[in-house]
Amino acid sequence: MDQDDGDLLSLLATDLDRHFRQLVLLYQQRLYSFALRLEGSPQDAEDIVQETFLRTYHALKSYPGLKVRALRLRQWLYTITLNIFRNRQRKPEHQSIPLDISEDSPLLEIEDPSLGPDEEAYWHEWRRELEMQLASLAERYRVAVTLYYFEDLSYVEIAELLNQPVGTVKAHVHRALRQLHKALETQTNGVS
Amino acid sequence: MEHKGDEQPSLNDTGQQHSLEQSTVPASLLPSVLSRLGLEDMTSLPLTGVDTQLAALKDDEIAVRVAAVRSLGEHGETSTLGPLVAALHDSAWEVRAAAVWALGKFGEQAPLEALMRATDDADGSVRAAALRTLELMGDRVTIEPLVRALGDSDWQVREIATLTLGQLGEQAPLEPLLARLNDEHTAVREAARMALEQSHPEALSAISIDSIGIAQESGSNTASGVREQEQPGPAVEVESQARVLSNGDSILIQFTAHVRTLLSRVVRDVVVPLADTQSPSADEEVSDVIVSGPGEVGARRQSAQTKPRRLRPIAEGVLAALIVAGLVASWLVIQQRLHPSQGAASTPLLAYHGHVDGPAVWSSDSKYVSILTDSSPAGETVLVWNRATGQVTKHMLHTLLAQSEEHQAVFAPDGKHLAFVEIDTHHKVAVQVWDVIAWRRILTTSLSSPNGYLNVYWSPDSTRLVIPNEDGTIQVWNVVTGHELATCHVPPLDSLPVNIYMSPDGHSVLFGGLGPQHTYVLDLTACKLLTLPPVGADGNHIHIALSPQGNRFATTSPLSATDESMVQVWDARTGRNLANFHFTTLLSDLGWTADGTRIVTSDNKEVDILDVATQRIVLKVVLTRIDLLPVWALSPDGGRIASVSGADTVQIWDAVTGRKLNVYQSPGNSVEVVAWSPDSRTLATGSTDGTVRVWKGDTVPETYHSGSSAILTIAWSPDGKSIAAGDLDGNMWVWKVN
Repeated sequence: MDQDDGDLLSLLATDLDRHFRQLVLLYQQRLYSFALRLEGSPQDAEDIVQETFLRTYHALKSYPGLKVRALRLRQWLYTITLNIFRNRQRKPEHQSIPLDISEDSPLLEIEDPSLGPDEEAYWHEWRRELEMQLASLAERYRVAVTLYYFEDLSYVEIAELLNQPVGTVKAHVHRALRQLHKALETQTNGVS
Repeated sequence: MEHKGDEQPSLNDTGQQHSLEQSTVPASLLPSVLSRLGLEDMTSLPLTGVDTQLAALKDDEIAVRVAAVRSLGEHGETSTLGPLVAALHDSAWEVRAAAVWALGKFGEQAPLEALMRATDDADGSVRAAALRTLELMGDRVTIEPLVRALGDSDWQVREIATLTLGQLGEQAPLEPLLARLNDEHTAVREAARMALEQSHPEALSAISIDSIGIAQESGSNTASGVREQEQPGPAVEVESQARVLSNGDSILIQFTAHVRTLLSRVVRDVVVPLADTQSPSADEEVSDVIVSGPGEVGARRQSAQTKPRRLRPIAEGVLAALIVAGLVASWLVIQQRLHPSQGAASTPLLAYHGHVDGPAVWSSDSKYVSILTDSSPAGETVLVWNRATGQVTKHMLHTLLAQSEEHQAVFAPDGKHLAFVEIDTHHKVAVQVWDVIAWRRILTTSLSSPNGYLNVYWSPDSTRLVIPNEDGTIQVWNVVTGHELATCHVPPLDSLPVNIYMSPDGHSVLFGGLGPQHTYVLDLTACKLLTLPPVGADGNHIHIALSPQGNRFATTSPLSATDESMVQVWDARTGRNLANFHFTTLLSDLGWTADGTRIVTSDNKEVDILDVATQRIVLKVVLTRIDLLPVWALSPDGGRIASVSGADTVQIWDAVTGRKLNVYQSPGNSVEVVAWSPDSRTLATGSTDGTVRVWKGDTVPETYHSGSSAILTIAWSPDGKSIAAGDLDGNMWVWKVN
């Protein structure tokens, strides 16, 4: 467990109301990025993260202190975020909004001062393509590859989070990569 | 190919994996969350008047109602109990949950019935809050709602109910908590362990040992292991036997013990009760087989009253079957001990745990297996395993250029030669060719590649190497003598060729390029070009495949932007268009049957076999796999197709008649790769549970356990007697196939 998480969990177990703000501050950015990749729409992502924190608060309030201190906070928060995302998907009124990859999309706020204008434009286009292909993956692949590459979770952590065998997670990540590779390759071939 | 470890994820070196990290979270998120939890301004809550808060319970804003509920809970005035109970029916779950917590603050005055009703709330967080609140009330409340909540549909409610029960210590009911050890969700199983540690630690340690035993026996998780033990149906027995045949002595012994356990249960639950009521001597007969414990006698007497007489023949039949199974298992144990070599099916001839890059490569005589490992900027490591001696020889394949930037190794079809290509920061390319078995460098050459083109291509007979360059120079080398055979000049390749094939006779090369100017046949004897006419919207050939005879080739081309495509067949000598097939999807694979009369194509949904002579689709295999990438394989003789349906079902099709020949079920795990044996009679499958299964006809498959993660590559030895398999983590095994 991360030392910061350990300290925070102790504080939360001691006085949840006082220290919950710190939890939100620490994790809101990560969960928002994660939700944005899952959902595509900034508004939906914000809604998901808001509900994640509400559910988190009530769960922490329901847990015995011993359990709060033993939590693997990061995975646990991703699990709740994913649950909320999936519950929303299941609701009949849910309307999927296509991933916004337009030029002013928050997905593309990328700058690298070490790159020249041409390189920057090239990588900008490349990343846009990658994000589009990522968004087109089946959900289980998108989730697996997002957690592994973008959220830096290990296979074991993802397996616990998704309640799946490690082998399945690895296979999903592998397949997602193969699919991305193939899609990008086809795209590259098709445009030349 | 660089190995990527578990803990160092990175899609590439450009840092794009953090591209979304910089999409900033809206500033409104934090205040909104705190507001909806009533945490926005904690200090002011108790100071607000009760009347104001009661009025606020009817506010339109959820956040205002939550704040009011919290404030009333802080005040603790009994006159507000009614409005707070009413808040348990608020339309917003946040308000209802806050009301539960607020009511809990009233201690002995809290309305039990209302809180009990809240344990049935439509929202999981409210139910969980109610359970926890009730537990905090101690002796006033029965544990019934908590036990009931162990079966809740929401795993978090089950988790909290489990943890809350654990708080009760010795009073916590043991059996329901034990049952949660097999919950479908990891978090609940963990909660059950934690709860049992707190309440019944001795029971937990006993169960832990039992669970481990079952898990080893079944080779799966504890939950499924228990299910197998309780329901020994025919399918389970077949699978168990498959494991017995492949897993060696220890598994055989475990299986024997497993059968004995089943015998014990049958005797306890079925046979002995019947014997009690029907035959005074029957008890003595079975006691020769199993000695029942005191608990089993109790069970016997209970069930003796309810078993109908007609069950006896069935029970006896089951018993007899199990006894036979036990004897078979015991015999297998004995055989295993007497003839250990027979168990070699499951013992790998070679197990390499490291960072293997790519599939294992067999030499054409099946005597050697070569693998590339530990790729680094300085080069590759080549391991060569000698099947006869069992020795593994390690060779370092060093880069030649001082500032080498990128490299790749390409094995020849004979598995005995290896081309190693590298490029440095000044776009200089160096090519080395090695005899892998003798470990001797055959040739070295260099060229320049401004665009970083690194590919080289082998002839089918492994005697020639084609090195194309962007300036249009095509070099052909004889790797037996180490001499250059020909240098042809074609128009500069301003885009990279998709692929290159050399004809079986080595006299011509087929270039599969992008655009009409780069799809052509080059006659190496005269350096003469045969350019194809443009096809498709942009004249692009995406996939290209030369027939095994070298006289025809097929191309696929996308048509406009409608995701449609065209498959075309061409005469490799004249460039004449022989056949055209129109598809409404984009194709992802293209190949030929061994006799060169049919083409095999696939997209993500189906595999099609096209007859060139009649220009008809003669077989269509629909891939019902949900995944985006299908798994299928055409047998080397072109007679059969194996396709994976769903996750674990492999279907075998006759590629000529389209008839389904067989269906194989690979129990419980997703099949990631299928590979036909060289004689096209046997199929090997690799699964995410780390097993390789070898299927032939209708017989039970041989199973080879790697003990690792997903098997992704399988390579049969050319003689069909062995299999090399690689997993996702860079490990590799070789098994002898019986």
